[in-house]
Amino acid sequence: MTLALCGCPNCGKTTLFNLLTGQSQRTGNWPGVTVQLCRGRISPAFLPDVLAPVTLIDLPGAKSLTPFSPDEAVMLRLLRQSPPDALIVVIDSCDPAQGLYLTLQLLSLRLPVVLALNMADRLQTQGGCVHLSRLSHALHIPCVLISARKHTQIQTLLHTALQAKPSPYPPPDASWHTVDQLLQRCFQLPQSPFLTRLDRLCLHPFFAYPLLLVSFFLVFFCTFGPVGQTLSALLNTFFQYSLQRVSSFLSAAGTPAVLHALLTDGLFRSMGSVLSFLPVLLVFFFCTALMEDSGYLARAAFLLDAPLCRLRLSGRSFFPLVTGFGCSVPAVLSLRALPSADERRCASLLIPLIPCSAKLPVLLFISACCFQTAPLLPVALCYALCLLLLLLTAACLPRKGAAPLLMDFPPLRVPTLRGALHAMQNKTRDFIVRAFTVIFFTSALVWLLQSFTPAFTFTRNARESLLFQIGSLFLPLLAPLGLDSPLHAAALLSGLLAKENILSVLALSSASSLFSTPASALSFLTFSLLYAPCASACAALSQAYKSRRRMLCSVLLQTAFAWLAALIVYRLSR
Amino acid sequence: MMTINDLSVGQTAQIEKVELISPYAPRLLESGFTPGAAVTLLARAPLGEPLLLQIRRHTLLLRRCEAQLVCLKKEELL
Repeated sequence: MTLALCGCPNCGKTTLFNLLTGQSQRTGNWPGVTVQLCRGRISPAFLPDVLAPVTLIDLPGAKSLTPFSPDEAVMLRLLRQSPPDALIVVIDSCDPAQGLYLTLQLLSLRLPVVLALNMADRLQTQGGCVHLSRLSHALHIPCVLISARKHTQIQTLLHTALQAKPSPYPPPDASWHTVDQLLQRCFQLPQSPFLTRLDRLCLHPFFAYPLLLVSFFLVFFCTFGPVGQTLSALLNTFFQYSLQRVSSFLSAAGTPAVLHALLTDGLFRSMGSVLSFLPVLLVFFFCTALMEDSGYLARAAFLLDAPLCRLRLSGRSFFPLVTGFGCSVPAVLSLRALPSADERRCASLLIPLIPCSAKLPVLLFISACCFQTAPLLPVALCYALCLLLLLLTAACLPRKGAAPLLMDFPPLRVPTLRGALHAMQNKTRDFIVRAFTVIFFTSALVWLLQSFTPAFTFTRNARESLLFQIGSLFLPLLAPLGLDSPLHAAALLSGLLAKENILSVLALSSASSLFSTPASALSFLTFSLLYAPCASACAALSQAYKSRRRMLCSVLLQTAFAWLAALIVYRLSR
Repeated sequence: MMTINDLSVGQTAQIEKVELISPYAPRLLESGFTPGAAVTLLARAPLGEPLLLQIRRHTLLLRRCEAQLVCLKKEELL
């Protein structure tokens, strides 16, 4: 038995899905959070008397059956190709118009349908009511008033859905005229104030922008400032401690030197260096999830749409761009909710230019090594350079015209801790999986390359290693940028797999002999910030472009661009 | 012809028609900008765009060039 959940974006489908299946899919007060199909088994606690397992599918939100974004196309495709046994249409009972329109269209598919009027608790506190029997009579389908947040009437909904049959009557005309009639006859919605006080402040002509700046400054301050750094340092200390314990244990057990080095330096240390980014990423995604859940991001999109429109983007691409500061992979994936293909393409070209959180340690490390007098100045300069290049690229990209904007504006609400934790967990899951697969194996590979000579004998001198031999092949390309050591080339090469590797390769050499001049350090910084994105970001990009060739083109173009920028920086600073 | 762009903040008016010249018109019609529906302009962004509108109790954002397509009945300003 399969049930499917569908409804408009932001009507609470995913909250209901998480409640029923006990999973933790991401929810947010922001349309288009569910970008792919989620499947789960309804937990038996909700269906104590049903023995057969019931599968639940969470479809991405759609406003009508005419698909305008790839997200919405997913829903129609699934309903046509493998229709579920029953469809639960979720609508927001406080804002039912668009949901009713979608319901009317879905009725024409002639599937068994149950209408779930969600957010009953909010409707009640606002003093509104729904005439369920009238609505059910008009649509010829069962209707249930539920609250996914407060867990009311969930069992009734499920039992109704399991017994649902296709309605024998012809469905009502799927038009806005019918919706208007239904709204008039079946709903008594309270006269809501046009804008709440808090909204007035968030959208105020004078205070809105300072408020926006302060809130995003806080997010970045928490992430890259004391909170993230402290957590990172703690985790690092833990890793150092356990490394010592493992190392002494292995020595005591009499392990051969090669195996000892592989386990401690190769696997343990690189794992530690990768996982120490995790706290920064966790804090970042937690903060952005709080913002997303509260509905503030829609306000940010409202305020920033006009400036982004100059770059022929829209306010909707603001959040993916901000996510890019954390990690490019979820940023590129979240572009799927954008309705305009042109805007999606343009934003996916821009996201790799944003310095992600994995590049920051590289930046900090090099500037701490080479610019002891003012270590934060190059960091600020690099961020400024990245943003400048981003604006330049956006301005130069050929496009048809401004991306249109038609965006829902969800009400402000108090974010829930559970929602924010779910969102954080979901966005970082990808990173953790990557840390234990791609990064794990690549760092083992990098270790192998750097501890064996071309004749496959174990060496502790990095300068004799295979990695250096391979790196020196690329030296002619890097020589104009003032990068003369094979170590630089090796670091950049391993950075293609994961940016975290750059640091672990650079750490092979002593800090003082890393760069011959500050100018070459600056050019290395510029190049490493701007060149090709890491392997997993490339995979996400090729998914976004739906073409591997186009992805390769954009990556190569970006690398050429980085080379040019590094050359200019080197010439200017020498 | 009066369009949504000509509304002042807080004003409500009934839609007369949506200009079908733009490829974007079907999306507007699907989103409920149908003749007879009442639209309220809740706010305008500080830089002039986008517009914050309410239609059938649903709140959404629209740019000026799309709002231009929605013609309003002048005599029925509420």
